[in-house]
Amino acid sequence: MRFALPERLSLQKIIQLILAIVLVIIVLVSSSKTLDTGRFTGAQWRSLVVNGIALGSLYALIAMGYTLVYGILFIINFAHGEVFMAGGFTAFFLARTLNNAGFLNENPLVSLILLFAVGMLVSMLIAVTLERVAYRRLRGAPRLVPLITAVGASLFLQNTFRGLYGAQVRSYPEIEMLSGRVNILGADIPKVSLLTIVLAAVLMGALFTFITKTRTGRAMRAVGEDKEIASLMGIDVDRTIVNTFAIGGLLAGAAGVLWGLIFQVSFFMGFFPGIKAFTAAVLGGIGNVVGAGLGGLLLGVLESVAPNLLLIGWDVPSPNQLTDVIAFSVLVFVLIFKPGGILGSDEAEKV
Amino acid sequence: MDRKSISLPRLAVKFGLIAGFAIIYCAAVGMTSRFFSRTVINEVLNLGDFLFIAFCLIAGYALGKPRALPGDAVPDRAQPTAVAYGAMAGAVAGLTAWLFLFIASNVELRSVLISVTTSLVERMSYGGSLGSALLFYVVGGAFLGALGAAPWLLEQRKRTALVVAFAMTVVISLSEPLLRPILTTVLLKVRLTTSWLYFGGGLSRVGAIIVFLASGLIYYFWKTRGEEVQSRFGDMPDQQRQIIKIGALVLLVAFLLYLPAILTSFLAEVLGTVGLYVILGLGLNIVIGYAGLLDLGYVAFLAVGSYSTALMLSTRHPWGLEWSYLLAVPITILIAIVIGIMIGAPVLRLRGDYLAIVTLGFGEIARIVVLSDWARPIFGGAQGILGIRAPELLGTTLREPEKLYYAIVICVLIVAFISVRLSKSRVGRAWNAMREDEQVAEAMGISIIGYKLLAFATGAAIGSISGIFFAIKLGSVFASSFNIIVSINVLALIILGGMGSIPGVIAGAFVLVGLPDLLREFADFRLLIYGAILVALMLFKPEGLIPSRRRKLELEAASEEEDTQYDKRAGEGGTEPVVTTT
Repeated sequence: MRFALPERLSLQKIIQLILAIVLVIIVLVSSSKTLDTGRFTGAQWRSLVVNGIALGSLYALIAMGYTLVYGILFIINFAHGEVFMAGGFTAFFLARTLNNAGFLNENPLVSLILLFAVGMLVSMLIAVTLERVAYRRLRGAPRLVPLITAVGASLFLQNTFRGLYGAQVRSYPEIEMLSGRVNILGADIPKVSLLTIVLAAVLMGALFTFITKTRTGRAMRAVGEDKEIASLMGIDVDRTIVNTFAIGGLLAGAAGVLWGLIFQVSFFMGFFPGIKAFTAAVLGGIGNVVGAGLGGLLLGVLESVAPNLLLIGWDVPSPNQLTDVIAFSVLVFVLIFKPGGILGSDEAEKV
Repeated sequence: MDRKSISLPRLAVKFGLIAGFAIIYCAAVGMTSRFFSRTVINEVLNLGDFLFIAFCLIAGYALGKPRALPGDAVPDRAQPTAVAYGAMAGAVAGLTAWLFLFIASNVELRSVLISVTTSLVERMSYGGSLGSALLFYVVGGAFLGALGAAPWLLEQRKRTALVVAFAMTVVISLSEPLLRPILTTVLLKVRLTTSWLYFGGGLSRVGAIIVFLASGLIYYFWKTRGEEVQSRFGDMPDQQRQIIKIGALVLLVAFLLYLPAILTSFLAEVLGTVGLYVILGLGLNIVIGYAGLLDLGYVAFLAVGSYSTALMLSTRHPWGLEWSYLLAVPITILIAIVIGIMIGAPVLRLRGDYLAIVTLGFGEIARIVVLSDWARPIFGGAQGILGIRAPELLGTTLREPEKLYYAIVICVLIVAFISVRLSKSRVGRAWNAMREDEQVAEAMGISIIGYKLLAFATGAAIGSISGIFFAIKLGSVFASSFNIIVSINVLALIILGGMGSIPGVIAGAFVLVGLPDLLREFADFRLLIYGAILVALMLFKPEGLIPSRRRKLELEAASEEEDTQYDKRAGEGGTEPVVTTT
């Protein structure tokens, strides 16, 4: 329901249109200026895109947790970044132990499976505990309340893991099987990125099948539609919500381990990926699983390509420092132009 | 009655386990080993041991609380068996803690859990073997659990007096770094020392007994009198009440202005920082508490205030403006308002939680841009801007903590006054209506966008004032001072005090900003504790510790109409989920 006057709306539309045109012109001019300098070769741009897709797959995996929880409870689980951190950080210690025992590079496949199992399990446990302790009592409370709770839980988890595992930034031991690059269709892809892209695709495919085909998945969608009616239909609402958090946690845990394999882990590693995955979820239309996947990929590629593409032409020094600025600007622009996201409905949700 | 007596042992195990895990948690994140070095009572008790004692006592106390099935009246006192169950809870807690000790001494946890050192394990087993530690923990836990449940056997007044006495002893002991210097100065004037009360970083043994007895007895005997005074105050005519209130306020202000005379320079600086956070809190309080907009990037306005002051006044910036403060302050505030509107405008039409994330993003953008090589010529990157001239006022330069303290107190008073007036004005009521129900407010003719922008702009202006002081205080600005933690800090102090409550903001700033500066042992766990406080308050006391009167009234009105509890409590939390499944 909207009570605003139509005149104001049309003014808004005009401003939006002008903004959009300005934005497009800026992007076009900047890109052409950058391409004129010819600083990057075609192969370099291609590898930027592939890196972006790998990064985007991670965002997509984390974004699933946001979008699933949002689809059911209509809250932003702000602490989801910490769920991701918990898995990736904990699995580091297993990787180190396995490496010290010499097991890691003797049986890399078994080791990887173990790493993922531990990371996913830890993240799942954290997510489920979070639901039980922090969110369950707040169901139906005004929106601000669970959001503040989530901010608090995020801070608490971050500093708990800092206390438990220490404040240092750590790197996973090298896994020989994953070092090096492969050449696919003319693009030089690091093996880790390939693993990331493939695994993320498999997991998201599995999630999609799970949600559409299985009984539990249908129950999740039903609870998202209407909790009261779903419970009348014999669906255990509490259990379904726990399942949702568990699935989100599992995917975040997998993303955490992958993140560790590519980058580094620390207690703070969840903060930025968390916000960006949320951005990805909004970009794709929050509540929409396919949208979150698409949004993640898009954001990853944008983040990897855009700073160079838009800023080099203007002689901005070290454009990659401004990567996060671009990610957040994307969020703001999506919210201005299409608050429902790419696949979401177009109406701006109010209140 | 049957169900109750059956469920008590289970509850005892549950509470015992929770307390046990809390003890393990504190040990594993490194709190316990840090707290061992802090004295609570000289040569009797340190803070590390106190953690164990406190959790067992709390488990016992929580268990001792009389319960009744829904519909039955809850008895005032507990049955004597409650003490036995309390002992059981304590024993379970002790056993759980011991199990951790057992694992830690047999498995090498140190390589993963960095805080679980051998010295911690030795310290926690009190020099004895694991077997003797088991006995110690279980028997000790049982004793403490029973002790915790025992107050429930007493009548309510005695029970509360005991709890108050216990809490006051702990609080006064922990405030030693704050109270001792003040008391020393004050008592010196009557030729007394503080060594009878404080000794070796905590209370002395005699001091502990005195504080415990004094606070307990004072509570016990003055409770009825206090109620009498309160009811007499309530019966007074409005005018008289107003006079008393203003008188109390004047006394408080006089005390605040007199404080630096008895404080050390360090304490004056701490108080100055508290004052800065009070200003920030009052500003964010308008945005969150009055208008109900969750802004997680509030630090951006602090940064705007500091940086624009720095740019206009730095003697070492390439621009070399060096304007006067008379010009710089209004321009700074104006810039903050413009930026506030620019941030707010695109997202104010959207749902509240989007606003939270977008503001969070903006806060980070501000920090990243300032730190980047691109903006280095203007903002100086990580090196920041140095050489900010302090303002000259009435012939003195405002730089030393004591002088700055006065300026900050005056500013706090002005901002608080503006806040109070705003909340009682037409604008304040419009914000209130908007917070409670946006659509209804809009239907009543309140321009939602306009009022939201107004709230955002006011908050931005106040935040930038705090930023000006921040720049003066340090004489330089660095981007690293403006991270997300500041925003969270301000949010936490508002929530703790109670959204929309001005005394709440002040109390919250003292507790969350002042105390960690003084209690070094807590400083490491400051953020951890903030997080826990935010979650716990939202779950159990969403209106905060000092709720504003309007909120309190709203809550009372809401509890009278139980069916629509949640609709009335917008902006607050409740305890019962709307959706219940059976």
